[in-house]
Amino acid sequence: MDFQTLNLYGWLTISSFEKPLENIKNALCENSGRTAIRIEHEILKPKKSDDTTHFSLSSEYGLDNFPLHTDGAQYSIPPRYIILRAKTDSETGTTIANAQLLKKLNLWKIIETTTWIVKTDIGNIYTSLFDRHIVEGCEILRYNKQIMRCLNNKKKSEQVEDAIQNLPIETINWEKNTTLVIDNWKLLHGREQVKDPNYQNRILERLQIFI
Amino acid sequence: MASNLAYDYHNLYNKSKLYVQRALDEDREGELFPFWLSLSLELLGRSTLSKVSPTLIAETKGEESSNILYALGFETTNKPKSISTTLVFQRLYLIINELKNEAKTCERIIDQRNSELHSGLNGFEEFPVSIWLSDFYRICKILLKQNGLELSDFLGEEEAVAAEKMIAHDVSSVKKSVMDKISAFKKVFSDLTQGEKDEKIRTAKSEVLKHRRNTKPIKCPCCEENAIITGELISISEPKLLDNEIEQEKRFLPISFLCFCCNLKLNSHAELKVVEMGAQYTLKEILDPVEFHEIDVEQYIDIDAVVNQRMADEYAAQMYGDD
Repeated sequence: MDFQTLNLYGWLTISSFEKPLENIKNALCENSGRTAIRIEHEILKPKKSDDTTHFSLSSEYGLDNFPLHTDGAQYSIPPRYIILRAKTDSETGTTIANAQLLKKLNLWKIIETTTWIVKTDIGNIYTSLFDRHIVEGCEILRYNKQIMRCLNNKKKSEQVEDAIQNLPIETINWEKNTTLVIDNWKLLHGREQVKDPNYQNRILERLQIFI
Repeated sequence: MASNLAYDYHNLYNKSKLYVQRALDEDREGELFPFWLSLSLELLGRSTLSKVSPTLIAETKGEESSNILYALGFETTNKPKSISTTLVFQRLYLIINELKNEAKTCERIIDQRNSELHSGLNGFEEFPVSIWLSDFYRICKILLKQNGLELSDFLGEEEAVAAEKMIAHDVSSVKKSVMDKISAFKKVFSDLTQGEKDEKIRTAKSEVLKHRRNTKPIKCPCCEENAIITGELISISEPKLLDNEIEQEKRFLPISFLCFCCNLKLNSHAELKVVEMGAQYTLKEILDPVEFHEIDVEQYIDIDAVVNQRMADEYAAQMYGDD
């Protein structure tokens, strides 16, 4: 695995069925110098908003595009890595954006001072978008506008939201067995609108690695 | 992070950071600026103590053990109580040596905050922020350092630069020279004849009007007539739409003072602090909407046609005369 690319850019793709997911997970933990304390394994399929009963991005956005977000913002410590593997070919791409680019904007002086409230598994917590105090020596990106609210004034909130949604994006197109590794503490990701009428054939296998 | 969120260091710190940002978004000369600062200081103190141990902020008076156990992560209460802010800081003085020197200021800020929240009195009226703002920043710096943080983490880069300047200007070394200077100028001014004084007062009024850009008019501590302070720009607020006007605030750190009447000059922030003129000030600016929105007027108006019409009107006016 090309850890240099992953550490530099926050993501990488593996185009063919090179390694079992378990091996990728182990390599990631070794690279980070930490052990995995929890793994969440799920099969993802697009859903219409009416077809899902629990509160999620699908329940709000259905087959529309998912806005840029990090996974697991509702956890006190979000997962570090997300591994996505395509079980089928799909025209609906996954979008990724480097949130570190926000630090280069003039707006950064506003972004860095915002405080957000987020509903987590242990209650509501106050957080920054880039939090350096939860895990020593690490900066954790946390953003999901569905469950987070900016507590500074409305204008700052809108400015931050615009800045995030206007970040340049890369689109990952899915061929069967393509694997995408995302550093969820650095990168935002989203999903394109699902236009394929056979949308249920878009199947991704996801591992969320908590370290 | 345990489930004791009420006492959790991160939650308390992030809330403190939210409150200081609310303060910084306010008019620096308004009443809410010191109010939000005082709330922020309380929470920063609590977060610092909580980082040592959350049990240190749990109230134990009259309670069996529910608050202490909550602090340790047990769900023993859904209404956890905390110790008073005074006790928070008393414990912090024992832990952080440097903070002991700031005890008097901490207590005064807390008292004014209590007065504002719990009484019919106007807190901070007798203790204006102009006196204690640099002390506030210095106290925050000490508490943040204890948590492995810096002023820029708390205030943002721009405000942290101004805060560091305010902290760096030590008043004690210049106090005597400033007071001596004021006495000397006071004597010179008082020795003038009434006619000479009146002339100087008249001149001072018009000079203040000529020097309006980025300055604030103020009463001279020596002759009590019209003077100005000039500042260094700290930050500019985001533009706001108010009553069909686009308004923006510029915030300044005072760095010099000049009286056009008695000619007293003070040349540094430290000197200004001695006479309680060190507080940041705000100037409001109305922005031209055409410039602000970068409107290309020529997209909407044919300038040549307007000019030609204007010239034709003027020519017609010259040619026509009333009988």
